[in-house]
Amino acid sequence: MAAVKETIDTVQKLETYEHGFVSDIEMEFAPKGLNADIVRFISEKKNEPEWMLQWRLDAFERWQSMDEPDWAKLNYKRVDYQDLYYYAAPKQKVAPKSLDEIDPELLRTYEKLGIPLKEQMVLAGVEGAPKYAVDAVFDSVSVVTTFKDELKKSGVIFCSISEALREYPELVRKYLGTVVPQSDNYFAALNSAVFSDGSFVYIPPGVRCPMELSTYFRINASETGQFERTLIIADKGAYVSYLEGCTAPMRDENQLHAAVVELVVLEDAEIKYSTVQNWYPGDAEGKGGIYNFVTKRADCREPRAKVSWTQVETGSAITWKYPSCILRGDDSVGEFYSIAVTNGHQQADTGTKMIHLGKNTRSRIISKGISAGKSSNTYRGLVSAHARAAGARNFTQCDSLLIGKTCAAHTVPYVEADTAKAQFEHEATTTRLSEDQLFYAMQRGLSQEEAVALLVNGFVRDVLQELPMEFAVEAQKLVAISLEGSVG
Amino acid sequence: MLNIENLTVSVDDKTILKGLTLDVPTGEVHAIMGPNGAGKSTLGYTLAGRSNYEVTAGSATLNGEDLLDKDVHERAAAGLYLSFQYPLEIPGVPALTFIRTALNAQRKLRGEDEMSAPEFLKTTREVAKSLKIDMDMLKRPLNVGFSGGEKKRMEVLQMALLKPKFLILDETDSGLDIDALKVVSEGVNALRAPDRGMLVITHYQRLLDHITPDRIHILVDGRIVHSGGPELAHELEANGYDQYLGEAA
Amino acid sequence: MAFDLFDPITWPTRRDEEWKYSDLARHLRITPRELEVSTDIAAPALTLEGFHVHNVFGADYSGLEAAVAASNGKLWLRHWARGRLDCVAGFQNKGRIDLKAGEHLTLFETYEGKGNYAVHSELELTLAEGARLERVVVMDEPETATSVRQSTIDTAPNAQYVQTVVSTGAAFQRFESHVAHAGHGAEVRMDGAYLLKNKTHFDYTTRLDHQHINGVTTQTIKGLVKDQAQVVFQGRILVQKGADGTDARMRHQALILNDGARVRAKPELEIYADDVQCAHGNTIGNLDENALFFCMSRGMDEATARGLLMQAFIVPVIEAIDDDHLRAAVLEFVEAKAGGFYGV
Repeated sequence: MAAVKETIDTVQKLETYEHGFVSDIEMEFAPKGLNADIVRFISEKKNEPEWMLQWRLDAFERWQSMDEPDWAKLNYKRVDYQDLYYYAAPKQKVAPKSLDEIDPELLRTYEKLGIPLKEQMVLAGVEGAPKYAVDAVFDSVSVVTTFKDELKKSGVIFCSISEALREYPELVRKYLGTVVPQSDNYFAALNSAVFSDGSFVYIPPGVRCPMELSTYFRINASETGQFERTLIIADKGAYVSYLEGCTAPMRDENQLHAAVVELVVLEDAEIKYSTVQNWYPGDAEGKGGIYNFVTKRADCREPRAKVSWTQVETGSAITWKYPSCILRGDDSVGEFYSIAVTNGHQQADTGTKMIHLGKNTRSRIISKGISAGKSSNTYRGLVSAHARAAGARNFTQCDSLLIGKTCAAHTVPYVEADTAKAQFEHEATTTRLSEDQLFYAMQRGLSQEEAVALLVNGFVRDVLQELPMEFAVEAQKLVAISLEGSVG
Repeated sequence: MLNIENLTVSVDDKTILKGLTLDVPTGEVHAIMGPNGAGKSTLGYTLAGRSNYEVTAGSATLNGEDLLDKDVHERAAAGLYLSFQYPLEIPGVPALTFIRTALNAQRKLRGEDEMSAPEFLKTTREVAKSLKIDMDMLKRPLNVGFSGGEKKRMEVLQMALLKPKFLILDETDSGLDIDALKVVSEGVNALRAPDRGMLVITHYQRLLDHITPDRIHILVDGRIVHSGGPELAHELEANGYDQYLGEAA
Repeated sequence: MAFDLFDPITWPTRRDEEWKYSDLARHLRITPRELEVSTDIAAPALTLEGFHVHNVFGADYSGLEAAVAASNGKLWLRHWARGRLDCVAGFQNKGRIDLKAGEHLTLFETYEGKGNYAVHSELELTLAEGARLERVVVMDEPETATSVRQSTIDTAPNAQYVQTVVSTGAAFQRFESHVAHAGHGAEVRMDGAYLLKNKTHFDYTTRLDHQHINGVTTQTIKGLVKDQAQVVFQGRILVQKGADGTDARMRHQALILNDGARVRAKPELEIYADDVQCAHGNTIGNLDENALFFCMSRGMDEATARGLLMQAFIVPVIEAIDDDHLRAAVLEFVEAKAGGFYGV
C-alpha cells in the first residue's frame, strides 16, 4: 500500500506544480505513464476488491512482456505508452473553449446530421459542456430512472462495470476475462490492466430484454474512458439487443482507444450487438484522429446460442477490430455484418473470426468495404473448423468498392478446415464505383453526391438491413456524409 | 424548344459531331437516323452531359435555356430525359426508391415540393399497370436481372413518372421483340403532348412504324445531311444510306 | 534465394506471414547434408512422346539453355533427387529460361525422387513480348521428401504464361510462383490440382503482381485431401497503382474426405487501382450428396459413385492443359494416382 500512497503524493505534487493549486475535492488524476503503481491507483480509486487488483496486475505483467502487433496493413506512428494518462485524463486542460476552436469540417457534419447546437458542444468536447450533456441528450434524469426501473422489473442488470464490481462482484468475477483473457493480445492486456469503466449487462434466464440497450443512454451514469470494458451475459434462453456508439462524430482528446467487449451467450440465448463508430478521423491532412484498437469477442458457450455483430465503421484514423465468435455450443450461430468506410487518410483493418468448435455450428459474414480518398481498407477474417465440428457451415461475402485512384482495398481471408463435414464458402469481389451508373443516376436528376450516396447505399444494403430500424436510417446518412467530396 | 447550333463534339480527341444544327419545335417528334458510327448516340450523350464528350464549338438550348453549361442532373431537372440504349443495373437500390429519389431531387432543384409517398405510389401503380409492369418488380433492385424488354419498359416508366419536357430515345427498339416494342411504343406515344418534344434516335425504320415522327433527319459523319417528312424512313429502308454517304465527304 | 537450405538461421518459420502454414524450420530441424548428386535415375512414372528430355539431378540446372535450344518448343525437365537412409541429402540451386519475343515453349516439369532428401530449387523464367510459355508441373515425390520449388516469372506485353501444377504431396512440399504481370494484353493462368493422402503436406503459393494496365489473370485450383494430409493454398493478387483495366479471378475449391485432413487457404486481393474487376472464391466441403444420390439411383455403388464424382471434380483442371499429348499423359497419371484414392 505504501506504493499507492507514494503515487498519490506524487500526483498531488504534480497537480500543485502544474496548476498552482491543490484541489480540495477528491483527487482525480494519475500522472502520465504506466507502471504497477498506476494500476494499483486505478483499482484503489474504484474501491475494487483485492482479486480484481490482482487480476489487473497480472494483466499488466503480461502486457509488459508482449509486443505491439504489426501484422495488420496499418501504418501509423507508434504510441508512446508512457506518454499517456491512464486515469481521468485531464480533458478539461486541453478542451477547446468554444466551437470556434473545432475543425470546421466536423461542425459542418454536425449540421448535416441535424444536431442541435448544445449537443454539438457536448460532442465536440467543448469546455463546460459536459454538464449540459445529461440534460441536452436526455430530456431529464427521470427518463433514465424510468428506464432503469423497467429493466429492474424484468431482472435485467444494466450498469457501469464499476458499479457491477461493487454490487454484483461474484457475477463479474465469474465471467470477466473468460472470453478475452488478460493475455489475449497486446491491446486487450493493456485494457485489462487499466480499464477505467464500461458497461455491464446481465439478462437472466428466459428474459427477453424489454428494450434495446444503448451506451448512449448510460453515458451520463459514468464517464467511459479510452479503455472501455464491456461485459454482457445472456443467460439461458435470454435475448438482448445492444447498441453502441452514436452516429454523430465524437471529438475526443484521447488518441488511443483500446476497448474490450466480452459477450457470454448461454444455451438458447441470443445477443445482437450493433456498433456505429464515428470517432474523429483526423483532418484533411490526416493529422489527429483516433486510434481504435478494439478486441470484441463472443463466446457461444452452450448449445443453440446465437450472436450477431453488426458494425458501421466510418470514423477513427486507424481501426483495428475483429469482432469474433467462438461457436463452442452445438448448433450455435455467429453472424458478422460490417460496413467499413474509409476516406481521407483513414486506415481500417477489420473483419471477424468464426471459430467453429461445436457440431452443426453456422456462421455468416457479410462485409462491405468502401475506400475513397487516400485511405486504405482491409478485410481480414478467419473461418476455422475443428475436426470435431461436424456439420459446420460458413458463408462469407466480402465486397470492396473503390472510389478514386489513390485509395486501396485489400481482402485477406484465412480459411482453416479440419473436418470432412464442414461446408465453407467464401466469395469476394473488388470493383470501382461505375461511372456509367453515376451518369445514369445523374441523368435522372440526382446530383453527383446524391448519386454516389444512392449507389453506395445500394452496395451496403444487405448490412444496413441488419441494423435496428432507427439506427439504420442514421447509419445510411452517415455513410453518405463520410464519402462527401470523394468523387470528382 | 430544342435548338442545336453548329454543335461540334470530340471524344478522346476524335471529332464525332462536326457542326450539327437541329431544331425541334415544341410538340413535335423528330427522328434522327443514320448509319453506324455517324454520331447518333454521341448526340444523346452530349446533350445529357456525359463527361469526356467535349463540346469544342456550338450551342444547345432547351426552351432558350443553355444546356451545355449545366451539370448532368441540372439538365435533367430542366426537363431533359435520355432513355438509354443499355439501361444500367443499380444493385441494392429498389426501382421504386431510385425513381422517387430522382423525382424529388429534380423537384427540389426546381424549387417544388417533394411528392408524398402515398401519392407517388398511387401514380406509379397506374403507370406501371399501363406498361404491364408488376409492382413486385419495382421492389427489386433497378434493372438487376431484368430482361432487355423489362429494362426498356422501366425506361418508359421513368419518363412517364418524371414528366420531362424533352425526351431523347436512344435506340429504344434494340433488343425488343414485337410485343415489347408495341408496349414501349404505346407508352411513348401516350407521352406525346403539345408542350413536349421528342427526339428518336434509331438505325432502323422499324421503330418509326410505331412512333410516327413529324420530321426525319439523316445524320452522316457528324452532320445532318438531309431532312424530310415521315416518308423518308421508307425511302431509307428501300435504298439504304449509301446515297448520302457521298454528301458527307 | 529466399533462404539457404544449408543455413538453419535463414529457414522460414510460421512467424513469417508468408510461411504461416508451412513452417520449414519446424519440419527440417536437422540441416541437410550437401552431397554429390546421384545420376541413378528411375524410369519415369508416365510416358510422353514428342518431348526433348533433360534431366535435372538434385537442383543442378547445368545445360538447361542448350536443352531449351534443342527442344524444338517441347521440353521435358525430369527433376530427380536420390536421398539417403543415414541422413537427409540436400540439394539447392537455380536455373533460368529466357523466351525471346514471340517464342513458344511447352515446358513439362516432373519432380521425382527416392529416400530422404531436401531440395530447394529456383527457376527464373522470362517471357519477352508476345512469348508463350505453357508450364505443366507434376510433383510425384516420395512421402519422405522435403521439396521447396520457387520460381519467378517475368512477363512482357502480349505474353502468355500458363501454369498447371499437379501434386500428390510429400513430407513437406511447397511450390511457389511469383509472377510480374506486364499487362498490356498479357495473360496469365495459374491452375493447380492436388490429391493428398497419408501425412503429406503440399503448399501451393502464388503471387501475382499486376504492374501495368489491362492485365488478365485467371486461377482455378482444385483438390482432395484425406487421412492426415494438409493442403495450403496461398494466392495473392496484387494490383498496383495505375494498373487499371486489370481483370483477375481466383478460385480455390477443396474437398476434405475425412476428419483430421486439413485445408488452409488464404486467397488475398490487394488492390491499389480503382478501375479493376477482381474476384476470388474459396469453397471447402465434401462431395455433393445430391449428386451422389443421383449417381447411385442410376445404379452405381457408392464407391463407384464417389470415385466418379471425385474425378469429375478434379479433371477440369487437367482438361485445360493446351498440349494434347501432355494433357493425355497427365490425365493418365492422375487417374492412376486416383485409383487408391477414391476408396474412402
